Parts: sequence; structure tokens; C-alpha cells
Amino acid sequence: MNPNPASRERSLFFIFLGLVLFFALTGLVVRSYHAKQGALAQEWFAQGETALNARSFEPAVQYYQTALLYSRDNTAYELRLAQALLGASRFREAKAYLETLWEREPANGIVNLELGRLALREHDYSSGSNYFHNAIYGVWETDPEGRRREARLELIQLLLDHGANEEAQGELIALAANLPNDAALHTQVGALFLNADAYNRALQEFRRALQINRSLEPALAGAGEAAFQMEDYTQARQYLQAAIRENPANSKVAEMLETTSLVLELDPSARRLSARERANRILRGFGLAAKRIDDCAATHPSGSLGTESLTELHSRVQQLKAGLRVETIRRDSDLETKAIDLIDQVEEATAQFCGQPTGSDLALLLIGRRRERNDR
Amino acid sequence: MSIGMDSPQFNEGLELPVPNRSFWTRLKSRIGATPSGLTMPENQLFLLLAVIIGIFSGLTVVCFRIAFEWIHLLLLGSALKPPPARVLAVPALAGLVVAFLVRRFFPLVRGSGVNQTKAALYIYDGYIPFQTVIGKFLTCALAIGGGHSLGPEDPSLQMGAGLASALGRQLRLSRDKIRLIAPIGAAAGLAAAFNSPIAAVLYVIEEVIGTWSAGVLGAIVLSAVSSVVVARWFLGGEPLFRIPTYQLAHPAELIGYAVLGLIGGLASLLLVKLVASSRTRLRSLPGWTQYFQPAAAGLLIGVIGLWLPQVMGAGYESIDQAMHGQYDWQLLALLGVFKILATGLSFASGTPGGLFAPTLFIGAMIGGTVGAWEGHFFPALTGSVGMYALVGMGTLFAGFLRAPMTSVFMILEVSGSYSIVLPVMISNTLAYLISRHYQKVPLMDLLSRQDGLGLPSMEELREKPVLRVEDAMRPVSDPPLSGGDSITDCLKQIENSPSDFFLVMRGDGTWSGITRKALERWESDGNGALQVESLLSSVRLERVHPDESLDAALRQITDSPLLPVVARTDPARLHGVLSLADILAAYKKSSPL
Repeated sequence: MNPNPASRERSLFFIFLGLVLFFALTGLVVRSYHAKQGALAQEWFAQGETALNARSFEPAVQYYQTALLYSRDNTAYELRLAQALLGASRFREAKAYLETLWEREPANGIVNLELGRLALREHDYSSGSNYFHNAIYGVWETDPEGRRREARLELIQLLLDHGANEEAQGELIALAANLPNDAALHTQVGALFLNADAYNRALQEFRRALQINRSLEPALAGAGEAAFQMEDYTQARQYLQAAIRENPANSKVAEMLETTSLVLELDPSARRLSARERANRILRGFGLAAKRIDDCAATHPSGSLGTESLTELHSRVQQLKAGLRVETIRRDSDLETKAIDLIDQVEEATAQFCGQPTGSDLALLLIGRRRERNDR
Repeated sequence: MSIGMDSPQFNEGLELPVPNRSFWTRLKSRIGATPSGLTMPENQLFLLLAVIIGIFSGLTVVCFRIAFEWIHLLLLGSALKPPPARVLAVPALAGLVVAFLVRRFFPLVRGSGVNQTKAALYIYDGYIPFQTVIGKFLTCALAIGGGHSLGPEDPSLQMGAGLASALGRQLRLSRDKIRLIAPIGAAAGLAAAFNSPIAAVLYVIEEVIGTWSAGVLGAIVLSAVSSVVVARWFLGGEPLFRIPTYQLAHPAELIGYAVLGLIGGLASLLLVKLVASSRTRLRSLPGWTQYFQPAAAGLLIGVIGLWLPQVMGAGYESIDQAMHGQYDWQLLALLGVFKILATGLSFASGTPGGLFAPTLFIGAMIGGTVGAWEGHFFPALTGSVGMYALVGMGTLFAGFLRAPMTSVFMILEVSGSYSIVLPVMISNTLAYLISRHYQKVPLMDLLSRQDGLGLPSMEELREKPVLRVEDAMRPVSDPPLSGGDSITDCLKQIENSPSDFFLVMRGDGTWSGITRKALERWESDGNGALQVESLLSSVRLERVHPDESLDAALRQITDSPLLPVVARTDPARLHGVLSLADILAAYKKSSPL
């Protein structure tokens, strides 16, 4: 075939013309289809949001998955889907989505936070901690400081729940160093320090809170409890009294205040006590201990291992009780020591066999334990 | 691009604007046209056309994809799980309409499109009616959008080839070019549908053309790239499915990929047997049943779809889900098994549509199943399920479509990770070997034979042993003459030889040939004392080497009855000689008949 060049030129012209028209037509079709897809995606996403807010997780999963059909790489949709999957306890699928999101946005705060929660749920503390730290130092679209602090608080709470107190203390120290001047936040951190058995740091945080708001009842109660745990009963009583003044209905504080007061009343080794007063306290304590062992021995008949011990103890208490007077205690330091030791032994033994003591017996137990620690 | 000799700017030698020339005239001169017409050489026009074909194919594939997705929305709704009534009714009704269109208006659109494109190349001189492009577009969009378990890739390949054929005819290209142009369009269509130009180019070379032809390779690459650029322009650059990050958990994990290769090979066999046997049976039924076969297949797919809606349509979303651990291994296995059934039904019923997407779907599900199962029992030795799904796709491609090279490069291209090459090669090779061992004839060849087409088998071509010069050459019986010897001496040397033609080694290391008669004539003319070389013509004989293919040697034998076979390191060292008779004897010897 030997084509006429003019005819080929004409053909080429029409081909180019057709190409331009086809391009324009395709553009129109694609734009129209993308608009339709966008509308569908939004429609299904809205249904997903409604379902998620109503905590209907399975329908929410369906809606979000459908929304993602029409807006495939939409990070917000994928994140919502992952959250719905978590809500529906479909952890493996949620993890897969979150990991995909993480590959795309490794610094995304919320993605790291969710992955951290999942990892800790699977007892993978190492990964969980890494994800949480990524979240803490990650990118947050709104209120980054607040969200980071919340992430760290959540990590601390999770660590405490899993008994990882040392790690929790480390996180708390980092958190406390950057807290804004907010009494509620200091109180919250103080409470977490309390849970992590870091009483001194807890007390510091409560004091900071009280510097901002001296009548903040939770801070007063927390400071009282921290001081109580540190066996600084004098200070504890001050805080607890202030707390109960702010909120008389707080039974826990009232109970702790009562115990604190009893400790202070019954402690024979308190400073600046006269010899008579000291002997009086020993005698009073011994009487309380004797009553406690009477009751406990009666409820635990002899024969069991515990009862054997209690019986012996009970006999010794009865023997000593007969000759125990204020004057004899004042004169005989050995008797004083023997009486105090017997009080401690009774309270420890009865606490072991007859349940945790309350009131005066609890105070005696606490006094005994503090003495033992000091002796050591 | 040449400039017309009568162009004013050529005559003046300066590229100055000519005020009197119209824009149109200047434009024509720019594109190589003269006032009497386009003078661009056909080779250059061919390359330009490749780009145009690529753009047209890209646009067509974009419209095709939107068409079947939109049809899906209209017919089945936008929900992830369509209403049951629609799931049952739509594939059946779509099948009915498609069957009517195919039987009444577009009889050439049946099948996937690969064999039809090969037929255009090998049988119809590159001719594909434009009506076929329209029919393929309409029927496949309706079938896939209506939920039939078929894919858009192979139809895109045929549509691209059809467009190319139409454009070539429009430009009145020579018959040779028209024949070559169909694969160019095929590569463009496939590249746009897959969003992966390398895999498309390789597939067309591996399965349509069969050889690496330098003449057409450039055009194929140009068209494939153009079409992908267009498709990405409109649909975005994201791959069809999001690819998980690859990480080999442990070297022993490669055993897991080998297991995947074994299972993938067996699954490929199952699918091939199902497609081939059910297609034969359905085609043997009376002609009128072909109006209802796609509808019946659609109804069965609808029944499966009530339970497993993922098997309906091309299934890219489900592949994506499988690669991201959204299914447990039981569901993955079920989807794999029922997709095999659904695809077999759809394809065998004569519904137009492709096999690529279902193959990838089945591979992803089988891969995911193997990965999840291994992960359950050997968690320390197993990577992500997504990677098994990805490798599984290539495995099924290698086993079912028997395109091993394409299968490997497709996964490399899609994943963008070359570290995945080892598992892919292990798994694909095993699947390919199993499939080849138990199914001697590849699926595409089987289908073409069922259709009564004598298309060449690319696998047979690939595996046909290449005959080399060393297979045909014979030892030197007559020592070569030296160009520096006198004619009298030469005649003495060949005195006892029965041959009539002798090789002459010239002083510059090249070879010539001389007949006994010529030597005798020169001596009788009184030139016996002259050196042979002085009387030889300047024409040299082509040299061939023992490792050269016999095909290449055959092209070099022209008027000379003998060719010297020399060492590559020393052209003067003669290994043997080769004649046309030797070549023909070698071909005859290698023929199985």
C-alpha cells in the first residue's frame, strides 16, 4: 500500500482532534465519577460516625469499610475504622489497619496511641512503650500538648495497671517536670505517684497543687494520704483535717483521719511524752491488744496452726496483764519493752489470722510496724 | 523528522519567520509535512503512532474502569454487602443481556482477549474490527459491573490492540506495520489496566509476540508508558492494591514460600481443568443455550455472592483486604476455592471478561491462607500474611497463565521491593513446574485449540531447542588455500580433492571462496604464477562461529556454497565449514517428525 501523504496528513489531523476530544470527555467522566465517589464516601462515613457514637461497633465497621471503598487512602476513615474494629473487639483486624496507617504516617500521634494500647493489651510492653512514646512525641493535629500529656497519663495508668511501678515512676517524673500551672493536673499526677508508691513525689505534687489552690480537697486528701503512707502522722493529720473541712462527706478521708489521730494518741514513743504518759499509753495499748486477742482466740478454736500460736500468745498476754500497772511500767524498763513487744506481736498475729484490724487496733499495728522499721 | 526540500526556510538556510505563511503552513512544516502531504518516514510515524495508541488506550481503559465501576454502583448499589435480591438477580440479568449482545452484535468479543489479539497478529494481518473494541467495552463493563467473576485486564489488552489496529488502518500503514501494531496496542491496554508498564510489556512479549523483536520493542515501551501516564493522570498513581512492607522473618521462611508454590501450582491446575472442561461441555450444548449460559453462571455466582460477596466482580478491594490481614485463614481459603468456581463458571459460559484479576484474587487468597496458617503454627518463622498474599498472586499467575517472567516482574513492579524476589522466584517456579508437568498445554493454547485457531504456542516456542552452527557444521575436508599462493600451487594442492569450491584465507585474515573452474581458467590464461588473492574479487565471505544460532547462519549464506566456521578468538582458525545442505540436514534431524 502506498498511501497518499495528503490523505495521511488529514487522517493524522483527525486522529489528534479525536484524541483531544476523547481526553476532554474522559476528564468530564472522571471528574463526575470522582464527585460521585466523594459523595458516597462522605455519606457512608457519616453513617459510620453515627453508629460509632452510638457504640454500635459492628455496623460502624461496615459503614467505614464502605466509605473506604470510595475514598481508599483516606487516613481519617481508616483510623475511624480501626477504632470501630477495636470497639468490636476485632483486635487483629484493627491492628492490621493501624499498622498500615503507621507505615504511611509513622509519627501520627493517634495511630501510635492506638497501637500502643493494642500492644500493651497483648502484654507486649516493649512495643507498647515504643508506640506510646511515639505518640507522646508524635504529631497531633489539635491541642498537641494536651494530647501528648493525655497519652503519657494513659501510658502511666496502663503501666500501673500492669504493676510496672518503676516504669510508671519514670514516666511520672518526666510528666511532672513539664506540667503547666494547673492544680488539678498536679493533683492527678500526685495521685498517680501515690499509686506508684512514690509517696514523697506525690506529696510534692499535692503541695504544688495546694500552692495554687490551698483549699483543693483532692489535693489535701492526697497530701494527707501521702504523709500517712510516709508515716508522718502529724502532717497527715493536718492535711486530712483540712480535707475533711472541705468535704465532710469523704468517708475515706474521715477513716484515715481517725486512724491517724489514734496513732498519734496511742504511740508511746512520741516525742516530748512524760514517763507517766508513756506508761499510760503502753497500758492502754496493752488493754486494747488483750481484748483483740481475746476476741480472735475465741473465733479461732484451738487445733489449727494459727490457733496454736494465738493460744500461746493469749496465755502470755494474760500472764503479763495481771502485773501490768502504770507504776510497774515506769519502774521496770524490761517490762515496758516486753509489753510493747507483746502488743506488736498480738496485732501482727491477729491481723494475720482474724482479718485486717480497724480503729485502735489498726493504729497499734501501724505503730508497731513503724517501730520495727526504725529498729531495723 | 525531515523538512520538505521546497520549504522556504530550507532554501534560505535560515529559520526566520516568513510573514506570508499561514499558521497552518508553518505547523505542517514543523511536523514534517509538505504542502502536498506528510513526508515523515514510516518508522518515525510508527513511533509517533505508538504514543498516540498509548494515549488512546489509556483513555479507553480509564473510561472502561469507570464504566464497570459505575455499572456496579447502579446495579448492585454502593453498600459493601449489596441487598440479597440484587445479588441474586443482577449477575443473572447482566449475563442475559451480555449473551444477547454477544450473539447478535459482537460475536468476536467472547473470551478474555489474549487469544483474539494473537489471532489478529498471526492470522488476520493485525486486523481487529473497531466494532470489537466497542463490543468488548460494553459487554465486559456490563459483565464485570454486574458481578461476574472476571477482570478488566485482558479485555483492556484486546481493546488496546483493536484501537491500534483501527489507527494503523486509518493512517494506511503498510501491512507489516499493521501486523506489528496490534501488540503495541495490547501492551498499552494492559499497562493502563494494570498500572504497571513493565509487566505489560513483558507479558505481550512473552505471550503475544513470543520473541524480543528490536523493531517493535521501542514502540511497545512507548505505548505502554504513554498509556500508564494517561491512566495515572486521571485515576491517580496509587497501585491497584496497597502493598504491605516486605520483611523476611527468617531464612527458613523460604520453605513456607515453597509450600505456597506447591499449593499454588495445584490450585492453578484445578482452575485450568475447570475452565477447560466446563468450557468444552458448555460449547457442546445446542446453540440457543448460549443465550442463557452467562445468565445461569450469573445466577450461581449470585448464590455464592449471598454468602461471599467478595467473589463478585474483579475483586481488587478484597485483594487489598487480604494483603492487610483483614480476613482469617478460613475465610481466605473459602474465598480462594469459591473464586475458582465462580471464575470457571463465568469464563466457561462465554461471558466476555478477563482472567488476570481473578487469577490474582485466587493467588492472594491462597497465599494469605498459607501465610496465616504458617503464622499460626510457626509464628517465629513467618512474616506478614500480606506478603504471602502478594507472592501468591504471582504464583497463580505463573501457574495458571504460564507467564513465568511476567509473574516475577509483575510482583517486583507492584511491590516496588526487590528484596521480595527470592520468595517470588521460588514460589512462582514451583507453581510453573507443577502446572507444566500435569498440564502439558497451557491454558491460552488450550482455549485457542478449542476455538479452532492454530495459534503458535509461546511456551513451545520458548522451549524449542535452539539449533547452533556447531550442530550443523562439518569438519574441514579440504585445507583452505592461502591467498599468497600462486594459482599453479593452489591447483596442485586441490589436485586430489573431489570438491569444486575452496575457501581462501586472505592476507588480512578475511575469507573468500574460489571454484576449481576459476583457478583452471586463470592458469590457462597464463596467470598461473600470480597470487590467488590478486585475482579474487573484493567480496568477502561471512564468517560464522560455532555457538551462533543456525537461523542467523542461514541468513548469511547467500551465493556462497560454503561458510567458514571460525573461532571467536582467532578468525584465521577454521573449526569447520557450513553449507546450506548442512543447515537443512540439521533442521531435519531436529524435527520430531
